[in-house]
Amino acid sequence: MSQEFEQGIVIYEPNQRQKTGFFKSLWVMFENIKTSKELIRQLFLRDFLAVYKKSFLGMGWLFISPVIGIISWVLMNYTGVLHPGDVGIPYPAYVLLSTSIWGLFMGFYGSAAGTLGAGGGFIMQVKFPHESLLVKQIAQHLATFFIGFLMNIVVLLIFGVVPSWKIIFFPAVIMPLFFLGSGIGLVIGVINVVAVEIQRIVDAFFGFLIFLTPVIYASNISNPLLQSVTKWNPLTYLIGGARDIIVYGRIDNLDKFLYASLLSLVIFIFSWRLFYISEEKVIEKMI
Amino acid sequence: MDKDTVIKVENLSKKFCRSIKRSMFYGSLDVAKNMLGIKVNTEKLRKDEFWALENVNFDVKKGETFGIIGANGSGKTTLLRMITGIFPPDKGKIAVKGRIGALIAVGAGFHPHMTGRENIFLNGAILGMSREDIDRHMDDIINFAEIGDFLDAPVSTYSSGMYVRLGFAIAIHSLPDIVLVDEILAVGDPKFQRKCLDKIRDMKKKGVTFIIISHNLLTIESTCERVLFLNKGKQVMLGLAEDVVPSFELFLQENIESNEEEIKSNEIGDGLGLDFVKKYKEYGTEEILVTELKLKNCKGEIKKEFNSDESLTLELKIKSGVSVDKMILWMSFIYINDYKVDDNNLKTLGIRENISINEGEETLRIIIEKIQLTTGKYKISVAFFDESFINPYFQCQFGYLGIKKNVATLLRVGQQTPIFWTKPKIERLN
Repeated sequence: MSQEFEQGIVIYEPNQRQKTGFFKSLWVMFENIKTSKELIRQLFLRDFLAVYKKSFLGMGWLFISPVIGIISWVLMNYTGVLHPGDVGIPYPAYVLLSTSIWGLFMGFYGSAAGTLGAGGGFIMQVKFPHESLLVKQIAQHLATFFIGFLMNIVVLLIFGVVPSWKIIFFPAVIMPLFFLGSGIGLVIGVINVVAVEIQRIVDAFFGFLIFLTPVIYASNISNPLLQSVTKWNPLTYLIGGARDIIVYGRIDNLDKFLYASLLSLVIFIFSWRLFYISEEKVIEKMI
Repeated sequence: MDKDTVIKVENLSKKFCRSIKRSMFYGSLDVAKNMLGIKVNTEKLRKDEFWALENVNFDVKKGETFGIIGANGSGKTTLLRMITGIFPPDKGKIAVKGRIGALIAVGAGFHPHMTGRENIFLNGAILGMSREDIDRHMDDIINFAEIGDFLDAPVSTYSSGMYVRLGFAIAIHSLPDIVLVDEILAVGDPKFQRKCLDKIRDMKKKGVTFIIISHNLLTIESTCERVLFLNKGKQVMLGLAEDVVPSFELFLQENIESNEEEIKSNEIGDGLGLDFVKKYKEYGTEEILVTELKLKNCKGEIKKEFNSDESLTLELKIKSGVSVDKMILWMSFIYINDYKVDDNNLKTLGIRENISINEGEETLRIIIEKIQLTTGKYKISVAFFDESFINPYFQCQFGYLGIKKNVATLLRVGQQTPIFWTKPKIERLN
């Protein structure tokens, strides 16, 4: 488990986790995930599948929700509400793909923020590695995303956009989005237990951030203010990179994509550590 | 830590905060300090904080059954959570050797829409069992839980008894070296309780250590070797069950006084009856009151002292604001040197009779052929309950009845022996 062992003896002391070395704590958390594979699997089954057990359409909802999203964008396009300028591919396809990747990022954030809450009910009763909750949350999010994503690819094909074969690198290209989203989410999730406003504020901020990121407009937008904001926004490169690898089979601004990725990784490592030392302190406030 | 010690608790303290807002503020402050790498001083109390546990010290040996007792809010569950590792200490240290199985709540993480079988895998995994462990013990769990055909039905369709049986069955098959039990032996039907106790005994033989929290002192006395007595987070006593449990009972008796109403005038009626000695605040609807209790011998003489082979007549003057067809008259004789711990206490003797009551005033006469109580002073508790024996109309205690024993083979108060009184006769005087 997560605590120190001396000849098979677990010791609990004040501020013990703070005293654990930086790299050691990262390693302990990684090990915890490795030893809780069965727990992660069971929690995933519980939360991913059991949710649909009571519903009449059951797992059908996994397909219905993305279809509704797709229809609304297609409709908006045909009514001519949106005139975004040239994005290189049919606009609905562009928006669909971008919002889908934005949703992926937001999901990483949201599921990480919900890590401690996902153990609600038994987190106070049983000692288990809470890192497993994060993995379960992310897995659940990825599973939902994947179904919608597949349908989006079909729509892309209908619009005549044939994805590059380099789509096979997509899982690697979204890693920075995972690091950034779940990094922010982990910290917000911990703080949210003791300061319940924080997540609302951050959620609202992200709701606004979508307009400061080239998601529903192209990155070469003419507005100078938006241009300078998007230039410094790491998500411009992370989301753009994930979109470009599918559509064009390359990443524009590769250097900036790599800087942004590095920044995301650093944020994630520090959040991972902060989660480790703070979560047990806030859990007692969850009563 | 000795070779055979499995839990060692040293100078353990834990603080909580009375105010939710401030508690959240302190939490935020601590997280912020963690972010900046500043050490959080857990040893000092801030405003509104208090020690939920303070300076607790004990150790538990392998294979021992260790009890923790204390009134509500004494820190028992907090202590269990700390031993499990859910809450970190604020001062002191806990060392644990071996795998802990905590039964703080059964069926932790059960999903109501999942079947019993699916929940066995889920709950087992939460309790730290591997897939192979669960597969290997599946049949044992199913047999132990006795849920039969319901195994593949969602647990939301289970009765509360089945739910608890399944949760308990998984927990005890999760291969722990140390089991922490928080008051859950009180659930399930008696047959299942028996089965649990047998299983616990089996596991003890195999060297499993138990820490038990219970308000049922009989459970504690009969299962625990050593007991820790906590009060408001402080360690009052640690020792053998037979020494600690009576001290706790005495403590309860001293503290129960606060629930009682001070009796201003002891004299009621014509002064020949017994005095009011105790009345519980806001207990019962008081639609029915006993205004006088007189004790008479077989000749009809009013007395307060009897021989144990004498006949005793209790004359109750009742004033009722309602007419009730079916109700229960409950009377118990409480040995004055004793103390009532709870309603299941075997140290009280009693009468339970179904009667009817008419609106207005009347006198009931209850005749006990032979008193058969041992020497001592007794309080007589009188209560009226509704048919379900749940809602009282009234309860109070009168005192004192003096008894002198003159038969050597009398049943003794305090022994866990059933008392066979001949059924008392009830007469009505109007």
